[in-house]
Amino acid sequence: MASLYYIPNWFFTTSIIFEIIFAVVTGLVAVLSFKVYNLSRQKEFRLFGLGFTFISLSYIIWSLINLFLLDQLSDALKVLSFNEFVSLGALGIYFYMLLFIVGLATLNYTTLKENSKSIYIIILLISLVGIITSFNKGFTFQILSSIFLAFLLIHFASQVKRNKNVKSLLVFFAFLSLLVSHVIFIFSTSQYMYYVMGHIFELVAYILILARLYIIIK
Amino acid sequence: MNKKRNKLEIIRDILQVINNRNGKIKPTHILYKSNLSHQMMEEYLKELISKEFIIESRNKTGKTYSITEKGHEYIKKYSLIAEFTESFGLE
Repeated sequence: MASLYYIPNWFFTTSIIFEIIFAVVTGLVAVLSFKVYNLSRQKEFRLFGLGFTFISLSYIIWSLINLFLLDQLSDALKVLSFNEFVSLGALGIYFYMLLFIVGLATLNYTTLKENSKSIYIIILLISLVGIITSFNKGFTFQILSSIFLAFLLIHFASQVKRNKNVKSLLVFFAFLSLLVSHVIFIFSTSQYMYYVMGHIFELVAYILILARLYIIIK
Repeated sequence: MNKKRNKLEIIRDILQVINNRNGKIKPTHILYKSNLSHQMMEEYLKELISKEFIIESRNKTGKTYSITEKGHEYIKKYSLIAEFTESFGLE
C-alpha cells in the first residue's frame, strides 16, 4: 500500500486544530445554506448545504482520527499494536477522503444547474470507484479533489466577472487557495513540508469563506 | 435599462405585490404589477402555492391570492437569501 501523508511531529497537534476550524467553517456554510433553503424552498440550497455537510463531516473524521492517534502515540502504543495503529489511521483517512469527495461532487453538481439525478449519481460513482479501486488512494483523492475544485473555481470566476465586486472575489480566492492546497497535498506523500503548506493554504481558504459568511449575516 | 431579474427577485416582487394589497389580490393585478407574461405568472403562482408562500381562494368573482407567514418571512429575509445566492453563484 502506498503511503498517504508524511506529517511532521511538531505540526501534528496544530493540524488537528486546523481540521477542527475547517469542520466548523464548512459546518457554518451548511447551516446557513439550510436556513436559506427553509426560507426560499429552492432545492439548490438544500443540495449545496448537503455538499458542505459532507465536507464538514470529513474534517470531523479527520480531526477525530488524528486526535485518537495522538492519544495512542502519547500512550506509547500500549493499547494497539503498530499494525492496528496504522490500519486504523488509514481507515479514518479513507472515510475522510470518501466524504470529502462526495461533498465536492455534490457542490459541483449544484453549480451545473442540471436537474438530472443520473448525472449526480454518475459523478459520485466515478469518483468513489476511482478512489476505492486505486492502489495509491491518497494520490487519486488529491487529483480528483483538484479537478473538482478547478471546476468550482471556473464557476466562481464567472461570478466575479458577472458581479464585479470584492465579495465575489473573496469566494474566488478562497476556492483558489483550496485548489492550491490540494495540489500541494499531492506531493505530501514524499515531503512532510507539503503537508504543512497544504494546511496553511486550506486555513487561508476557510478564513476567506468565514469573512464572506460574516458579510452575509451582519 | 434594468437588468434581467432572476427567479428569486421575481418571487420577491410577486410576494410584495400581494403584500402591498393587504395580502389579497386578483391575478390580473399581479400580472399588471409583476411585469410577467401570463404563462410565466401562472407558473410562478403555482410554484408559490406549492411552497406555501401564498394561498389561492376562489369566490363568485374569481380567484384571489393572499400571502402566508412563510411568504412574509421570505420578504423579510430576502437580503440574506440574495447575499447567499450571490456569494456562491446559486441563481
